Amino acid sequence: MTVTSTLVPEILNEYGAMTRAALRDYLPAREPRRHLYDLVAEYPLRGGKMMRSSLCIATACALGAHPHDALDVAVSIELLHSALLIHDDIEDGSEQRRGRPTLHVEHGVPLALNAGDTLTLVSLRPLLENHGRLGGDLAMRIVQETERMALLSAEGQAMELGWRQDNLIALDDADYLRMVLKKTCWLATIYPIRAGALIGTRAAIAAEAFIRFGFFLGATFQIQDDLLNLVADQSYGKERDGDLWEGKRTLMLIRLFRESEPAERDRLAAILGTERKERTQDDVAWMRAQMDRYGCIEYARRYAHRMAGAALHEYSLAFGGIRESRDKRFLEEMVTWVVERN
Amino acid sequence: MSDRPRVRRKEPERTAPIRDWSNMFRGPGAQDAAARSTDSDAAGLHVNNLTADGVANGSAAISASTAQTGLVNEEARAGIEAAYRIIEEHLQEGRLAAEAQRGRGGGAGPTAFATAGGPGVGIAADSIQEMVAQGIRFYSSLAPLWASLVNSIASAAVMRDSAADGISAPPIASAPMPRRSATTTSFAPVVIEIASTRMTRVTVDLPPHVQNLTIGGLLALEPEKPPLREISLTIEPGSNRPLVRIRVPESQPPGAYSGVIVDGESGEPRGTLTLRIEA
Repeated sequence: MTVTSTLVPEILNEYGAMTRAALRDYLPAREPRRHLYDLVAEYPLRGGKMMRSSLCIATACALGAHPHDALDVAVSIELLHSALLIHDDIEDGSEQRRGRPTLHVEHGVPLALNAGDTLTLVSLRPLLENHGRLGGDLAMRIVQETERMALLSAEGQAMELGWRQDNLIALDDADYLRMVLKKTCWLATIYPIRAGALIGTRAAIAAEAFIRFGFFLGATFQIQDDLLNLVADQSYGKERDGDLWEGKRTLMLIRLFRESEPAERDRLAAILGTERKERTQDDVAWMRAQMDRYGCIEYARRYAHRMAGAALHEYSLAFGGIRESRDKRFLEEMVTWVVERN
Repeated sequence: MSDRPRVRRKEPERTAPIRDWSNMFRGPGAQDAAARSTDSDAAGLHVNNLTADGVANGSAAISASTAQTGLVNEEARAGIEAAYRIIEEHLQEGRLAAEAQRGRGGGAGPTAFATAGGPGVGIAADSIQEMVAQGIRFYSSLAPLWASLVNSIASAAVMRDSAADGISAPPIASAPMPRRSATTTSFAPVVIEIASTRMTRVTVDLPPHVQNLTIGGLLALEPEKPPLREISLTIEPGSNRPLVRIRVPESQPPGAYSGVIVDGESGEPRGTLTLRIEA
């Protein structure tokens, strides 16, 4: 896993552009604009990697569909993802998103919350209009998958928020994986791939198909995302060390608590028991230095590589019998790309 | 070319079935990670008696991971084990949720898909079970119609024979129909006696005025669940109503069990009976 893929950025650009163009048709262009629809359009149009939509389209195409067969679902995924980001940023108290201030920082929490709710509803429209191209049964099956994914995502978010609210830090790696499975993997990887597979096979996939592959790919993605928050350069798009400011329970933080001496644990618990606005630059710098001291960054990096290895194995099981194609290669190379991106 | 004898790996000895994660991986004796080769095969991962996809995938995933990181150690093993344990738990939760949904008669849940085609997207047990469930549901609604059809055909045959004997039979259209009283329903009243320590629900579909009934047993969709054999179908003394007696063993797994009620002489289906054992 030493060669950086050129195919992955190529397809992300291609399918991303296709999705972005189609997505505009679903963003209402009417009043009220200043307090609603302009806000609704902000996150979807700010850009992003378009990884989720690309996974959906590529899986559908790898299994024999035309890209446009999966486009409505891809659009829905990106709209829902943006909606959840608006809410996540409020819940996390984040200050930056995709290189600019978060929506609630720019417009206030009430308007941002309302815009997020609206965007959630807007994301349903492509799924409802899907039936013309995919048929009623398949369109309804995808709606069912969407409902399942949305609920699991909410459960995962509740887990992580609950840990922060209760200032729970004595967690283990398994706790982290359980949370990431629901909070991240279902929306980021499992659902897009399964929806693409449903479209590509006309709903003829096994009940548990692709869940394992999606889990390991998504876990790799999230761990790497958490690492980038601490070590990435300015192009990263989010606030550096933002996760430490937010007290987000990452693999690194969990490891830090586990490895720390009792007095250090007390100090860590005290810092994380405060509100974000009460934490100081010194608090964050201390936590970051402790992570280096206890090798938490390297630990998480090794963990991400292990998850990537498992993802490659699951990829071979899930896609092994499918004919070779550019889209199939993209799905395989995504594993490497996810863990090596910066 | 080297004249050293070709290295062959010893056949692993199974000493016990692997039933849990703690003894999932067994190398040939205690091993120092540093002594293992970076080659994934020679890393010494011998997995015996794989009993679940997760176990099998876990070991293979460690091999894949090993090839990547170049070293198997306890940290890697624990990480992969934990991850597979979590995803298998999650999938089991999904299966139970799908089972509950099917039991509510909701038809195909979000995790039950139609049959698959092609390698890599193989047919899952859930899909086959869903087909069987659909078949039973279809048959359950078809059986009363079938019974009516059989009766109609039998009536027509009687009338045809009667005509052949020179007896003038009324046209079918004006054949006498059973008089419907205020208490007559489309289905026969059935008496049910159940011996069970758990909550059970019984559904019986049986047209009226059928006699000489019998039932063989009740089967679950899941092949691993044993059939319910302690069931009898007789006539209640005094009332002339069908009497079903069922005993549910303590060890019977929860779920739905169904069976066909047939005519004891002809073997023709007359109705269905479904029993649901709550957990």
